[in-house]
Parts: sequence; structure tokens; C-alpha cells
Amino acid sequence: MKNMSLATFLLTALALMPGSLAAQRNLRKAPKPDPAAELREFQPAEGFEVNLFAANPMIAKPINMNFDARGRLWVASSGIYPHIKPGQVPNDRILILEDLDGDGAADRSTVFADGLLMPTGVVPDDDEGAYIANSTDLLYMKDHDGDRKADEKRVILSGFGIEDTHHILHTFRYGPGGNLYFNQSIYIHSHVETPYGVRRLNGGGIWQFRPEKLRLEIYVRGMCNGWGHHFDRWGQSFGADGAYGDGVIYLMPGATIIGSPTSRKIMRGLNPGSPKECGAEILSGRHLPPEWRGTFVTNDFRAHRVRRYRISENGAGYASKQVSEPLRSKHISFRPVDVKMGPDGAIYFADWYNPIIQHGEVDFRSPMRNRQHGRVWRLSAKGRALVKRPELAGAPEGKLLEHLKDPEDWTRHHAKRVLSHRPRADVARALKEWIGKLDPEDEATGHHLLEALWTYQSIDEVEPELLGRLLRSPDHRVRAAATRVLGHWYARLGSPLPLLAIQVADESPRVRLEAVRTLGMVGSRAGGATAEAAMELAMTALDQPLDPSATTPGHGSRRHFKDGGVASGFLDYALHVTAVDLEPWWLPALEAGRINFGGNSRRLEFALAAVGTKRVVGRLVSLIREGKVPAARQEGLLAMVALHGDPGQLAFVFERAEERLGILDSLARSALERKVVPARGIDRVDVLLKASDEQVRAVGARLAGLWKVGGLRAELERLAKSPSDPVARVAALEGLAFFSDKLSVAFLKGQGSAGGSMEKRSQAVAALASIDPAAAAPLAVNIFTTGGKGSSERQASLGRLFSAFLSRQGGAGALANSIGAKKLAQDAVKIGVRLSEPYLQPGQAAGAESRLIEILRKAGGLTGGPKKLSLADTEKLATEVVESGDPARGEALYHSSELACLKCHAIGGAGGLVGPDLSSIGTTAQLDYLIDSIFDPNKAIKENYHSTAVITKDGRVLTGIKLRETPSELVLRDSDGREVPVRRDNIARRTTGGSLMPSGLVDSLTRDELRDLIRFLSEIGKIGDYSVGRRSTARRWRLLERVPAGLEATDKAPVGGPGDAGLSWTPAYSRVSGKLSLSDLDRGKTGIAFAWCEVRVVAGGSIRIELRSTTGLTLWVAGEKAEMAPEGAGRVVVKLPVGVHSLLFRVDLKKRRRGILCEIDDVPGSPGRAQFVVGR
Amino acid sequence: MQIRFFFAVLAFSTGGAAVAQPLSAEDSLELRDGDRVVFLGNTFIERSQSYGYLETLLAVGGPRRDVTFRNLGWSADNVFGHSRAVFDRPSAGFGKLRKQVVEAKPTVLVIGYGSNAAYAGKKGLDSFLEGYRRLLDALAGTGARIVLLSPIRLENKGPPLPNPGPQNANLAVYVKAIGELAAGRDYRYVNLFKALRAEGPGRALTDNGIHLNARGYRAAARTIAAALGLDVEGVEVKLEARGDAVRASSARNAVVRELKGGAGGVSFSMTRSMLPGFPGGGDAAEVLSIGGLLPGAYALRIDGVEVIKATAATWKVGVAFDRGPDFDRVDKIRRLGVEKNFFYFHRYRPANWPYIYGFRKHEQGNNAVEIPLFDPLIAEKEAEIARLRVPVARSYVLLPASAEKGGSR
Repeated sequence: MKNMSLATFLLTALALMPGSLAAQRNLRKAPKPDPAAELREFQPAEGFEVNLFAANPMIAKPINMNFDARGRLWVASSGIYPHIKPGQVPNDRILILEDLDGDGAADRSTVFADGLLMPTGVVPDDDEGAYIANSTDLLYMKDHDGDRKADEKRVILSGFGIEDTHHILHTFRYGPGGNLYFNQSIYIHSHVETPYGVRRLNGGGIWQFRPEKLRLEIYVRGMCNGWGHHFDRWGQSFGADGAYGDGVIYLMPGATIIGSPTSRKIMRGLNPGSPKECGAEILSGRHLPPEWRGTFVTNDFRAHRVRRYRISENGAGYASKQVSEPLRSKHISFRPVDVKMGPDGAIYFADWYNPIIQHGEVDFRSPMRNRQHGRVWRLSAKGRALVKRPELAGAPEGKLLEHLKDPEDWTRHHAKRVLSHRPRADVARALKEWIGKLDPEDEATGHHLLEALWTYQSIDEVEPELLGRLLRSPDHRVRAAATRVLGHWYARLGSPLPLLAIQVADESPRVRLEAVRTLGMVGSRAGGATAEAAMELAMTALDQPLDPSATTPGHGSRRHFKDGGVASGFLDYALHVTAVDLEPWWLPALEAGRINFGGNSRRLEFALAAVGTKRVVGRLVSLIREGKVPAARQEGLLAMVALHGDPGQLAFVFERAEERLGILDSLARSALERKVVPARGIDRVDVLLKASDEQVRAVGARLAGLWKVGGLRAELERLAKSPSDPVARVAALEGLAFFSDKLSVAFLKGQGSAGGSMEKRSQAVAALASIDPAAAAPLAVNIFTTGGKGSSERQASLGRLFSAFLSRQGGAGALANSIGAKKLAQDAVKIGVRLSEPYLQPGQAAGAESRLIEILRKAGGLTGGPKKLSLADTEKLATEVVESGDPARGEALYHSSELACLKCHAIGGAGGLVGPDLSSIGTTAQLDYLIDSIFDPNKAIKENYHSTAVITKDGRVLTGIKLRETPSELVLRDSDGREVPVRRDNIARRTTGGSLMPSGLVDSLTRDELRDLIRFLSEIGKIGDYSVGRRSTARRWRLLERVPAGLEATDKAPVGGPGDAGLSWTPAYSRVSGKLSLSDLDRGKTGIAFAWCEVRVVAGGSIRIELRSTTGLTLWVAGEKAEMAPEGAGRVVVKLPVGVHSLLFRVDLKKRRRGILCEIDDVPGSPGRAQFVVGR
Repeated sequence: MQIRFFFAVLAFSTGGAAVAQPLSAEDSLELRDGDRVVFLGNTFIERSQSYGYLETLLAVGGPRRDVTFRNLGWSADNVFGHSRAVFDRPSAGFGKLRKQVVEAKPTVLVIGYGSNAAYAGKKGLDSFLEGYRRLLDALAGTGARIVLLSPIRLENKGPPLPNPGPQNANLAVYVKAIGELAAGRDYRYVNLFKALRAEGPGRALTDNGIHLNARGYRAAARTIAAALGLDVEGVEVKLEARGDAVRASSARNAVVRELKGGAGGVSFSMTRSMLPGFPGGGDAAEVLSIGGLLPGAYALRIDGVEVIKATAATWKVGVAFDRGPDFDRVDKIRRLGVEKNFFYFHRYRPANWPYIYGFRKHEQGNNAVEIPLFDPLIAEKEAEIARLRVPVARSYVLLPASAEKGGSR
């Protein structure tokens, strides 16, 4: 009680006072750092309990931790993070925590190393030394005299980038065969000298390092913040990303994962729509309940939660599904950043303990930043025996080998690490003896032998006999792992290729995948004829089936063929990577006639398509011409030829294009960006103008203009006036503009000034603006000065016009000059300002352009800029939010079409992808940050959400978020969520700017509405009603805008269903709870609504669809009507093949009184795995 | 133990001049008061900043002048500046390199490239030389006097590390070409490849075969300083005691005053003309011989701190030692230089660059005000170095060791 100081009393008293002070506390004060208080807030999984393992002063600011073979926990700790102060002496530390009596709490803490600068990774080597990330350097430090303090310090590697201190070297892990792995994140550029030459890695990735050989290689590229990496029992590795919500990532060797700046194709994670995650551990061992073993644990550090996934094999790769959460908390400073299993079989969490999680948004020197505290928590299963801590450090070799049979990954791992420091000959002798005693009939022997193989790898002793045996093991998981070991040993195996020839023809797709990647790595290291032969061998994997398409989940887009740059299948992707890696050898060999892929056209086609550049399109054309490519695969190849070919090749493409949009779009891009037009046959574009699909008519009209087919001008003019074909009309106007001559200017001027509808006039002026902004500007201003009712048509017309000027070089300036001092309609000004902001940011625009926003404001009589809040205003608003904000009303506003939040910001992965997903915004953002971000979007921008502005050589202006960049192409995501590719050689200027989020978005809201909206945002992700659950729930919907006549009374699906282009479907999204609300469903007077969502089946089989209530619902799954009880809970089990399938609901609004909550789940015993398609 | 030490110290050579080509006076790099030496190159240069040997020798060796140093080494860099491109394409690295050099305001540029290019072998030589010429042309505008360093020879550490033989053959080609490049432009050139060799087992200059360790950097510093005519020179003083009278028969590189004898010992004041080399390695050791002492053991104290003991017979022959306050001072200067380098690193290449200066500066750009705060800290260290590098008078007292507590062992 003596400790109940005055300050404590005051705090308690303040907390009890309602209103402003409580809000302020939320805003500016962190909770008292009392571990007991934090402990009380934990909600562990059923049957589990949490205890404190260590807290300050034993440790502070833990970032990364790893156990050693003695069971001691090594912790990297930094108080300097995120940035050194001038004059500050580096004083960060590596600590060793010891639980001497085995009671699950640390009793001793020793400073192993001091004087470090932001050590973000540490792993002990089980020989009293440790590898440590020290900003630019990888250090090795060692204790030689047994006092647990380092007395040796060496720089092992240097030159790792420090461009962002939460991206620097991190996530240290030993692999099963003794390689050390560590990661860097997306902003880092590393340049490292090694005895084998320079290694460079720009962007994120995982390094693979062999300590005693000092051999450093790139294991995978990409991931934004790959803060998690662990190997499973079979040596396969999986990652977690702290900036990209893809859940578990299967780390195929050599893959490029989302987030790498340069790559032709990337691989996505297995759980799109997941939160950002940090740390990763695959669980194992007798202490945990059986159903927990083998699951992947990672930290949703933003939401103070720990998540768990079950990973299962899926073809050549994996599928993953979220399962029950191990731990969650409401405590705002609980920041689980690392997770490791301990020697006792319990799970340990490093808690960075900080209300602030990052340094991008929050000032380096913010007083809220906690620099002193930190904890390690321990999660154990109640009533289950702990694992007896194994004695490894001094154990004889024979005993260590016996531990390789233990079910705990922890024990087997450290036994191998300890063995790796013993004399090689002793270990080899003991291993041989141990292997001899294993019972070949025992099912467990396969894994024991694999551990033996990894032990040989750990002591760097090549053992061809055991390798050969395991390459042909009856267990495909052993064969896959052995194939990878073969890759590490290839240089000492004499001729590894014949062995790989067998693996690449294996009956298991997982083994084939490993063989394909191993061939890629062996080939690129050996080079020369070996590389050529490896490539030919790898391509033989095509003789067996690849994964079914759509194996890796992604954000779906069904309508257009898109290269998209995202892997479509695991084995397919592995082949692609190998073909790209080996291209420097096989392509010249092919051209020189040294190799021919055994005359197999399928293999050749695949190889050429992987290259996909100008250099290979001639050969692709030959293959197609010779009839060697089946029709089903031609579209992608023809589009590739269209993008890179010469006029003759483009003519070849156009002859075969038919009405395929992917090909036609590529032809249009080549005309626009490269000025390359088919050498002949362009007159036949007239056929497209008569196509039944309006999209085809539209691209036809554009092509007619781009190719300047004079004979079609009259037809385009006719289409441009057509009242009944709006899509083709706009395209015809664009097509006419592409003629860029006096005739088209005159025609467009006429259409733009005639007395037609505002919609038609704006379309004509927009087209004119793309060729002659100065001529178009006065016509546009005429439209802007005319007031009108705020109909959606009017809004669209105004938006179209502004966009046309802004996306043309000189367009904004022409508009500014034309507006001058004229007064414009209020709505025109608002739309104009909103659309201009992303284009006209400081540094991106100059001259008249930069004044457009100012001129618009003046023209609309708007004074000042968008609303800005003072600090006092912010605090006042925050107080009101806490007092009276209604999150339910706020959520309705979030879904309203006026605010259009979902157009850019997804929740649970469903919604737009232009801005960050907001699934856990309430747990990461303080109220003041939320308020600032809404009122001033440029104040703090999430990483990777900075806009990029490009001016092309053909005079277009593009803005968007950079999605990826390949050697030939930059892909942006524009503010409408569309992917916009631009050839890099067509870029005249590129700048990086601020946010794409317009300011002034909330200016139209009432104070009540503002409070509600912010309250809602502040609740998302917190434990309660606004947290995305772990069950797989339909969140992305399409609603039928107008129910066609004839469907009201009948219980049948609209003709054609979801894919029917004749129907108008609008996007809608579930509430955070997962429910699609009834108010969103009700679109009109018919009393009937139709809604569909999609599931992506990643492994074929049975899937269970669950509905809380079936009242008033009819369901079609993949076009088949599902049998459901008319009332009560609905449960439908359907068998579905791999691919994307629709769930179409008919809702009888007269009967139904609630929204739709639709979930899917696995069916026990069935291999079927599915996820809902998310995204926009 | 003591005896062995004597033999060891007497066996010292006096610095790196023995391994480097002695240069004529006009070849020496006359550092002038106010000179700014900028080091540019790859990991070899970058890591040298945390050892500080080279800049210390350049600071204390040769005639008296104040010189400052900036280290612009960047790991794995090449003559194209590829490591410096950061968020831009590799080709943008060259412009950044030039900007970094210009902003460091060099009057002398010490440049070391070629070790990474050499992995490409003979077929990469033309592109390397073309790039090097472009680099030197671009840096000519600074007006700085230029020194080119060759790459070092790789050491063979045995398996499991790779055999450096093939790469050393590559390096020899590049070393020759860099020498010719320097000669063609009349630049000073230091052939480290030729000069640096481990002096025997346990005296390796690298731990990993490719990067110098502390011993390696000391050797490199000695070689470079000597080649530039800026090496430190040892002090050699000979005294003759006769009762109360003490006479200096010779004093090289030092001024000896206030010679006193009596009470069985000798005392005097000595001021070096320049600071010595680093302690504990035999660089430019101090040799003191005192004849005429009564038999017995004598201990030398410099400024009150005991430095060495020897018998009268040994003092007569001459005792070489490399410790004491002046040696400590050199090491202090080295450590100050390393601290200064740490500040400068975070000044010119701060972490979190995108937030402070780059595309996210609207978020944390306000922290940019901190970065120039390194400047006064750097200046402070440099002022301290400038003060310390001027030798001061030291009191030398030689007394019978038996008078010392504990006596002679």
C-alpha cells in the first residue's frame, strides 16, 4: 500500500472520470508498465495458461530470440531503435536468459554483448558463440571462458543496408542441414563481399549462409517485412510477412515472393486477407495437444494477438488454413514480435512491449515510444506434462544421435547443432553405426534417416550412399528433402544430373518441384554445358501434369486474360523460375542449335514463354504457326507476341486474335507505347466493331484509331454518336482521337459543344483533351460552369473530364488557363480538387499545372484548403469519439457509396487494394493518428502506399501505387484499383509522391457522422464486435443492380448467372462481423435480391458451406442449385474441383429479416481446401 | 620472460619502409595544413574506418600539420558506384558517388578499387579500366591530389574456404593495370598486392582470406604511409652517465633536456619530433641506451608510469620499447578517429534515409534537423586529435629497480 503513490491514486481517479480526460489518456498516455496488469489481460486458448518468463530489468526491448542447446534463451535487445541520436554511444545488447530451476521463469540474465547498434537478430551456434545482426554487419561473438560474456568479436559479413531500421538484417534461423538463414526487408540494399565474389540483394529476401565456408547465397527474394521463417519436420520452409497480408508463405527455394522490386513473376502467400504478421514457429512435441502439433504460429502484433495456421500439402505446394488462436490481449503495449518453442515444450513469446509499433508514422523521438521495457511470456498447456529438458551440450555422440528420434523439433535441431561442432570423423563413425541399427521395417525410420542425412550435411560430410537411398525413399517427403540436399552437395557428387533426371520424373509433384528448383540452382552455379543440360532436364517435368491451375490463391479477376505476374501454380512457377535462372545459358544454346529440348514443342514453348521478350517471340510465332501449341494455351502466347513483336509478327497475331481481349489489348498497347502496328490486315478490325461483346467492340474502335484505319473513320463517327452502345461510344471517341488530325479534332469539338447530353459532351471533350488539351479546355469549362442536379451521371461526367485532362501532359495547365477567373459549379470544383490531388503533388507538377487546385478552389469560392485540425481540435474530437461515437453507425458510413472507403480500403482482404487493409487499424492507430490520417492523408503514409507518377514518352500522365517492376515493365495500381502496366522504355519521367487518398473526404460529414466513423475505425481489430474472426467468411460480394423482369416470382437464377455480362453487378462487402447486411442487399422495389461471392478451391474435394439461417435464401453453387432446409441453419457439402466457383444467392426480401453470413470449412477426411476470393 | 621480451624488442624492424619501395622526396605526398584526405573504395576502405590505423599514421607521421579525414568506403562498391545506387537503378550510383566525394571536399583522394571487378577475370578488365578512367575524370574536378591503391593479395586459409589461387591470378592482372593507370596519369600509387604478406604462421593479415584483420590494417597503414613518405620514425637516444653528470651523445628525432644524474639513477626531459607508431607491434619503437650505470636492474618511468625494466648491461646496449604515454597517445588518436568516423558515417549515410530525406520525408523529415548535429561532434573529435598529435615534453626517470616496491623479478 505504501507503493500506492499519489501518482497511482491520481491515475486511478482520472480513469474514473468520464469524458475528456479518459480520451486524452488514450491519446497521449501509455499504461503503466506492470507485468501483472499485462498478464491479467491475456486470453489464452482453451486449456492453456500464460506465465511471465522474464521482464525488465532482466530484459528490455526484445526483438529476436533463439534458444541454445543448453536451454538458454538469447535475446537481441535495442533501446536505440529506431534511430541513433547524434552523440549517442551504441549500447544495445545481447542477453542470455536462464531458467536454472526449470520452473518456467528466468532466474538469471547475463549481458553477453554490449555496445551494439540496433541488433535485430541473434542466434547462438550451440558452441558458446552467436551470430548477431548489428546494423550493417553480421557479427560473430563468442564466450571462450565460460562466463557467458563474449570475449571474441568478429565481423563476418558487412554491407547490409540500413535504409529502414525495421527492415535491417533479422529473423535468424538455422536450417536442418546447418545453413544459417537471415532476412532483410523491402527497403534494404545489401552489397556484400564474400570469398566467392560479391553478393547483392536489393529489396527483401532471405539469405542462406554457410558459416564455415563463408558462402552466402540468396534463398528467396521478396516479402515486404519477412519477419518470420521456420522449417517444418521435413525441411520445407514457411514464412510470415509483417507488411503484406498473405498469411503463411511457402518459401520455395529461389522464388520471388510479393514485394520484390524486380521480377517477372511472383508467388503469393497461402492466406490472402490475413493481417500483418511477425515471427514464426512450427509447433511440435509431446507437451502440446496432438492437434496443435505441426501448426504454424505467428503474431498479429498490431492487434495484440497470436494466430495459428494448419499447413497441408497441396499438389506440388501447400495449402494453409487458420485455426484457433493461441493467445490474445487487450493490452495496447503487448507486442508479440517473436515466438519460439522452448526446451520444455512450451511456447515462448518475445513481447516488445510498446504502444507504438513503427517509426514511419510516429516520430523517432516520440515520448510515447517505450524504450525500457520488454517481456518474454510462456504459454503452456494446462494439465499436460512438460517435456524433460534434454541434456545435449556434453552428451556423447551416440546419445545425441538417439535424440534425433525425439518428437520435439527443438531437441532434434539442437542435437544436430551440437554434433556439428564435434570432430567430423567421430560423428561420421557414430552415424554409420546408428544408421546400421535402425529397423528398416519401422515406419519411423524414414524420418530418422532424413535426420541422419541432415547430420551429414551439418558436418559437411558428403554421403552418397545414404543420399541415394533417400532419393528413392518410399516417403515422398523424404525424397523431396533429399533432393534438396543433393543440390547442396552437387559439386562433390561427380555427376548429379542423372540422379536429378530420376527425381524430376518422380510420381510425387512435390519431389518434381524440388528437382526442378535444384536443377535451376545446380545449373546456375555450374554454368556452361551443365546449365544447358539442367534446363533440358527441368523442362521434362512438363511431361507430367503440372498443378491444376489457380493453385495459389490470389485476388481474382475473371474477365480478362492477364499475365498479372502472379504464379498460377507451384510446379508451373518452379519451372518458370528455373527457366529464368538458366536463361543466360540455355537461350544462347538454343539459338546456336546446341539444344532443342528433345524436339518437344511443349517444353520449348514453356521455356520461351518464361523469357517472354522480343528475343524469343519469333520462335513462339513459329511454334504456333506450325500448329504445335494447343488452342487453350495460345491466348497468353499471342498476347506476348503482340507486346514484343515486330509488325509482321503483330499481323500474325491479329490474324489469330479473334475476339480475345487479352490479345487485342496487347495489340493496342503496342500501338500506343511502341508505335508498332501489324504489317497487314488491319482493315479487318471492322469485324470487331460488329462483335456481340461490347468490350470487343470497344477495343476494336480503339484499335481502328490507333492503327489509323482511314476507311473506318465514318464507322467510328457513327458509333461515337450511337445512343445505345455507351461502351463502344466512348471507345469510338478515343479511337477518333488517336487519328490525331484536323478531321478528328473538328469532329470531337462538334460533339463536345453540340447540344447533346452532358454525358455525351463530356465523353467527346475527354477524348479531345487527350490530343489537344488547349482546344478541349474551353469546352470543358463550359460544362463545369453549368450547374445541375447531383446525379450519378453528372458526377461521372465531371470525373471523366477532369481525369482526361489530368492524365495528359499539359492537360492540367490548359484547364487552369481556361478556367482563369471564371466561377464553376460547386460539385465540379469538389470533384476536380479531389481528382487533381494525386496528380499535382508538390514536386510532380510545375507552372500552370501546379496552380490548378488553387484556381479550382477560387473558381468554386472555396476558401482555404481542406479542413485541417489543430492539436486542440484533434483532442476535442477524440474525446467526443470516445464519449459518443457509435461504431455501428460508423460502419454503415464506411459502407456508404458517398464515402466509398471500400473502394480503396479492404477489411479482411475484401475491398479495394489501393490503400492499406484496415483489419487491425483500431489496434495499431491511436485516435489522433486516425484523425490526422483522415483529415490529412499525406501526413503519414503506410509503406508501399506512396504514389508513383509517370509521364510517358507518348505524353500520358499515370499515377498509382507501384505494384511491381520487371526488367521491361512497371505496373501501377491506379486509384480505381486497376492494374496499369507501362513499358519502362516508354517512361519519360517518374516521381514518387504522397498519398492517393484525397483530402477533404470527410468535409461533407456532420460532426455526429465523423464521430461515428472514427469510432468505428478505432474499434476495428479490437477484441469485440469489430474484429475479423478466424473462420473463412464470404466478404466480397457482387449484387445485382436491377433484377430483370421475370425473375421476381420464380425461384431461379438470372440467366447466365454471375458471369453474364448483360447483367449489372455492383461490388458490396460484408461488415467486419462477416455479415452482408440486409440494407446493402435491398436494391429496389422487386422484393428480390441476387448476390454472389466466389470460392477458390485450392485442393479439389468436398467443402462445407455453412449458413446461420436459410430463411428466404436459395443457393446455387457453381451453377447447381443446392439442397437446403428452408428454415434454420444451413449446411451444404459440395464436391468441387480446383478453380474458382461462384455461390449465387437469391434472397426473398419479404421473408428474410437478416443479412447473410456465409462461411466455408473443410470436411474431415476430404482433401478439399477452399478460400473465399477477396480483393476489390 | 623479461629476457625474452628484450630480445624480441631488439629484433624489431623500424616500420613498413622495409616492405615498401622507398620513394624519393619529390614522390612523397606532402600533406599540408588544412588538407582533407578522403578515402574512397569498397569494403577494404569501408572497414578501415573502424580500425583507424591508416588515418592515424597519416595524421601523426611526417612534418607537423593538421589534416582531417573522411571515409567514403562502401561495401562491395566498384568504379561505377553500384553499391551507392540504393533505391535507384545501379547506373545512378555513379552520380551519387561523385556527389558524396564533392561534398566531402577532398584535397587528397585515396582510392581503392579493383578487388571485386577482378572476379570477372581478364575479360572484365577493359570495362573496369574504362570505368576507372571515367571515375578519375569525374573526380579531377575536385582538384584533389590522387593516390591509387591496388587491391590486396588474398590469403589461402585452406578448406573449407576456397583456394584463392585463381583469383590472385586475376588480381595480378588488375594490379598491373591499375599501376599503369596511375603512372599514365602521374598519380601516386601503392602496390599493396606486392607489399602485404603475412610474416609467418599465426601472423595472418586476414581472418577470411579476403578482408584485412587488425594486424592486416596496421601493416597496410604502415605500407601506405611509408610509400607516401609519411611514415613515423623511431626515436633513438644515447646517454652516458658519469656520477651526477649525464651527457647525451646522440638524439635522433627527439630533443633531450634537463639531464640529471645521481642517487644511482638518471632523469631527463624528452620531446619527440613526431609521435611514435602504435603500441605493441614494433612500429617505430623507441630505443634508449644509457651507459655508465652502476650494475643492477633499473626501471624506466615516463611521466611517473613505469614502462620497462632492464639491467645496467642491457641499458648500455640499448633497450627498445613501444609503450608509454606517447604510444598511448597515438592509440588514443586512433580511437578518436574511429569515433569520428562513426559520427561521419551516420552523418553522410544515415539509416532510415527514405524517412529523413527520401520519399517518406513528409513523415519523419522533421528528424532531418538531427543529422547536421553530427558536425560539431566531428569537429570536436578532430580538434582533440589536432591537439594530441603535437608531442609534448615527457619526464623520463631511470632508477634502480630495487628501490621499487616489489623489486626486480
